Amino acid sequence: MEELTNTENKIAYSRQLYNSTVASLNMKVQSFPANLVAKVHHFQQEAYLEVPEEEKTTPKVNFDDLNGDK
Amino acid sequence: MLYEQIAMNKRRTGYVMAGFAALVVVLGAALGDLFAGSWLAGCFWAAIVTAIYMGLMIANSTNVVMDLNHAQEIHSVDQAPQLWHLIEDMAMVGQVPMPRVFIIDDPSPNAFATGNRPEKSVVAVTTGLLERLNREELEGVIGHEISHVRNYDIRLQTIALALSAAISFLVNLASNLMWFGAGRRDDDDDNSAGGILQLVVSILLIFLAPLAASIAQMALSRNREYLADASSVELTRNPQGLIMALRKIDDSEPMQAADPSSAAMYIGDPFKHQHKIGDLFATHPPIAKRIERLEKM
Repeated sequence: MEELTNTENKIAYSRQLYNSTVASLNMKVQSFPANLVAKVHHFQQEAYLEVPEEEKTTPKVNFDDLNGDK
Repeated sequence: MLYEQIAMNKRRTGYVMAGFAALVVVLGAALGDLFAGSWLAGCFWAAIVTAIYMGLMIANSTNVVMDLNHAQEIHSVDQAPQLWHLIEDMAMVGQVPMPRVFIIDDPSPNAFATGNRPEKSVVAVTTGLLERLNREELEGVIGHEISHVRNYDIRLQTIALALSAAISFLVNLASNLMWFGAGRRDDDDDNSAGGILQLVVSILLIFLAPLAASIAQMALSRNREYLADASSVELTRNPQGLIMALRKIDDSEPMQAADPSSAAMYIGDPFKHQHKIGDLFATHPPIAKRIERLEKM
């Protein structure tokens, strides 16, 4: 169970880190004085990592099926 | 709201540190004026003493602190999977390297972080914390500790400790000199009112400096606690976990394994001193006030 929780949290936090990095990039690209440098070197605003609604639901895991095999 | 709090705390820390440094220099000037007849030399020597203390403290703090608090290092994920994974998560989202992990055998829930740089950081938690807190609450606490690492609070704490050690050294020196009557050259024309006033101010400074130093140190650590609470929520996006964790830490017995000199580093006061709100000498802000600020987020 810990393994599953851990994996799910790692994914969620990676997404959070990506999005907060994108947010600070977008803010920098738009605000003075960094926007001037961004224009010269063609730094663009990036898109956030969105997750479709159907993937946000917690997957149901059933360990009972596995017990039979062991 | 969250970012305003972080900015406000950083500003306040700046003021306290500036006041602290000014205190050392002014104290040095008073000493120099009183005993050597030159305030400039006093400033110079005070700065040197402070620098030496700082070097000594930064060089060998971590292992000493861990021994003092009876902490045992764990080396692999199998020894405490949940704790290890949570520290991994928070280090990743806080963008600091994975700290070393220590466990303190004590039934009272508490935790602290230390290390002078994020690359050399250490997080220690008690066995009581692992037993009594659920995953969500534990995550809030680990987020708080990683924030201390990320905000360079541990280095700041070391610097503050070195500054107050230097101040008490200077004051000891001064009182010894006074005892042996090595006062300022008295054959000069010092009997003017200005000379006497200067003398009184110098002596007052020497007596009040240690007091001011400990007040500044405590104020610093209280502000950093609020800041780490706010930053923890920035990492976990979940104020509720930290709020419940703080309640549990508050409602528990005092720690046995904690060392008094490291009390200010823990997330909650390990000795459960009863302080009035606004107490100048408390190392931690009252839990009720911390929860109140978290609830506003």
